[in-house]
Amino acid sequence: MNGKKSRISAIKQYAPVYCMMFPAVLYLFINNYMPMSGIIVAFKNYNFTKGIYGSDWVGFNNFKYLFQTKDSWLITRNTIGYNLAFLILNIIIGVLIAVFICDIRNKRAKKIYQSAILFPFLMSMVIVGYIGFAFLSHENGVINNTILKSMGFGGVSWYSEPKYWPLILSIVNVWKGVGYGCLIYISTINGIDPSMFEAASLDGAGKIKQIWHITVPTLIPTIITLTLLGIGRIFYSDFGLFYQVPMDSGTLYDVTSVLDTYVYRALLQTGDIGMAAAAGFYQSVVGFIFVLVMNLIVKKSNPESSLF
Amino acid sequence: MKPKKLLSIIFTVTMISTLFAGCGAKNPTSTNTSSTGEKYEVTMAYYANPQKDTERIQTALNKQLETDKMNFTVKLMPLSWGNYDQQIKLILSGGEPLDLFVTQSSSASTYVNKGVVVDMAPLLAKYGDNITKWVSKDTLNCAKIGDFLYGIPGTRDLALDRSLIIRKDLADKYGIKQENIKSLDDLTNVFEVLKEKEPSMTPAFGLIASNMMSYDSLGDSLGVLMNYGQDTKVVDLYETDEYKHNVNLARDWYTKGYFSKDIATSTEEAGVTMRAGKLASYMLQTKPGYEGQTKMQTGMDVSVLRVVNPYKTTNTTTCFNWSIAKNAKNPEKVMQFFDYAYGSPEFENLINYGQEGIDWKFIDKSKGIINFADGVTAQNSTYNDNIAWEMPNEMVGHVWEGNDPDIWKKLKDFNESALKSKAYGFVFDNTSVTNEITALNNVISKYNKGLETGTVDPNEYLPKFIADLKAAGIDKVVQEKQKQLDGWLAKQK
Repeated sequence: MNGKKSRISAIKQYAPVYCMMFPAVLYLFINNYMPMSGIIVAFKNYNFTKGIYGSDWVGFNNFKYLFQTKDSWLITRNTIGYNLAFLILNIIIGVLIAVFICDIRNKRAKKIYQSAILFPFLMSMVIVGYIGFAFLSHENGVINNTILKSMGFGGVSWYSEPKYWPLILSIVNVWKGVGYGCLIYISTINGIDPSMFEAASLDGAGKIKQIWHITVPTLIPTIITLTLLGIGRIFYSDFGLFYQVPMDSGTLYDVTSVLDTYVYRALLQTGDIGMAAAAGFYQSVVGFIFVLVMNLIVKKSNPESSLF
Repeated sequence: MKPKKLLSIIFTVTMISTLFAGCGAKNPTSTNTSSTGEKYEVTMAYYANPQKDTERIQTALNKQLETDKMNFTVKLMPLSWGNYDQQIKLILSGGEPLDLFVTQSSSASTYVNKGVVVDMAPLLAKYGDNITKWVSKDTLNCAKIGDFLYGIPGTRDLALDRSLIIRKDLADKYGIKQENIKSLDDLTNVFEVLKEKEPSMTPAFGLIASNMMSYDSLGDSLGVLMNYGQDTKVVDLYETDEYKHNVNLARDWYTKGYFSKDIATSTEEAGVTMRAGKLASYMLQTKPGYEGQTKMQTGMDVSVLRVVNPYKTTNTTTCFNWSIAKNAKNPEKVMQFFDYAYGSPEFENLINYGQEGIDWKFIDKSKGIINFADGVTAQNSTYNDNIAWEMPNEMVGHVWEGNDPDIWKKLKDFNESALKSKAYGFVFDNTSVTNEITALNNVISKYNKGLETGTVDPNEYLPKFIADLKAAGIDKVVQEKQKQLDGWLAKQK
């Protein structure tokens, strides 16, 4: 009798929460789980008239083009290299900015900075590409015409010089993406009991020591969670960043070509659905393995932070 | 307290109603076939820049169809150049309504292999009276893979020449005439004059090999026939001396400032830049009637100075065709509609130029010459796109002012008399080399724009380009093409 009553009251208590969760779960199911059987397209020679289930099986043929090219090492290096660099940069800069924002006394200024830092995240990459073009255009760009000219240098053909682009892409990615992590860090920092800081300053700890010994350790679980969530996408890249921002310039391919752009350019003509699906399959399998491995590692050192 | 609660209720209701916003969108097209009786709705997709008044033209077209007692309604689906290929693939794979659409020969073999288009040969025999009057058997053969007719070209330019298109006011001012221009090298002098005397404009624009050379691309430029397609040996275009000479020429032009420094990353169509007054000339494939077409698009008179003589290849003939999609519910009806479009001047005039009195008016009714209606210009017209060449049969329509009144006869003569490539009618089947082709496409997009616009130094990049092509398997593709071509030539004898 007692068990049943508490069950019903529990359901009553949490019912609004379940209601809020329901649309999202439904969407997740319809959008992510129902189409999962379509993964077999990666192993088929897709024929429009026969449909997915009727097309012929071709084994691993669709995967060959990813590995047969001399560029396969290049795109793998670029994809993973950039992702790791972006991950580390976003964490460091995100934490720094979060700490700065939390230290601001003026409440209004705090809110403005929080919104400002999130704004680039919501911008379309196509627009960002053109903003970049406004800066880097050889003839009309701000950098060539205003900054370099005033220093007496001639113009640089930015879109033909591969060596600057790892830096340029990193700057654009951090500018655009840091806001997301920042907000989560800010909310974590806000949860720290302020009396901890008072006690620390009473003990004689300076600002930097406080940050290092209180703020950062509190943030570590958040950072680990965000990293684990991000690592599943280690083989995916922001297509807009690597295709739009360099304005699809051929000379930059060596440093801007990642798996996603390679597949896009390769299949633009033939539009082979099986081959494109094979690339996606490859990316998700690798990402999945990475998440499992990283999760195991985290479990060993920091059990509460692991995802499962 | 009260206003806060009211506010939260309003927000909740708004959020819930947006949940249902997605539900209403999908069904209007399918109700058309049942509500208007027996009428079949033909969905027509084609490359175009979006226009403000496409709806108005669609209504006018449907009225015309009714007047002509045709049991059809048409749904126009203009898709922008940048979007078209992806959208069509989505529509085809999603099974959405699509009946008639424009296909390019480069995708032909894929479409046929994947079962995306319907064989038009039997339909043509039954319903193609108008079409067979306008399209020769020779032309139709180009659009066949084996016996499968995958598309039917319109009555546009089936051959192409290559020219320098320069603003007429500038050509007259500086005395730039056809007799001074016999080859690409002669253009250097032209650009020099333009650069010196007109500093506010970029002198030139164009891709020197893709736009201005005289080879038969055999479908994809991976292995070509040089010399107007009169050679029968398939060679790698990028290793020829002609290509080397041309990219060096382009580099010379770029360093001298004849091209914009941003030419390699430019996404604008040359005509649009010219309309804005920022470009003096550009290089492109042309045909008879190009002057009128450009005048309609830019509002400016241009001189078309030929650099390469006209010639016909399978590609130039079938670069754009009309095909019937597998999605079509009734291919026979679609063919009937297409045949009607081929023969109807009213249909062509509406879709190419708009409505009489609103978009255009007669300048000389007896000769069928037209121009913008009063108050309408190239800049403010709400329906003005350069698509007449794409439509089934522009030859039954009117002539835009600026073109020769006999333009259609001239175009027909141009088509028939142009030099025919030895491989005219040959279509390459690329299924055995798809992996090499995907790798090669990547190599080409990496180097060709930079080299062809002179943005990079050919001494450094051309050898790298050739090395990468070889590593990606260009020789294998060239050999396969030669094999297929030899087999096809033997059958023609």
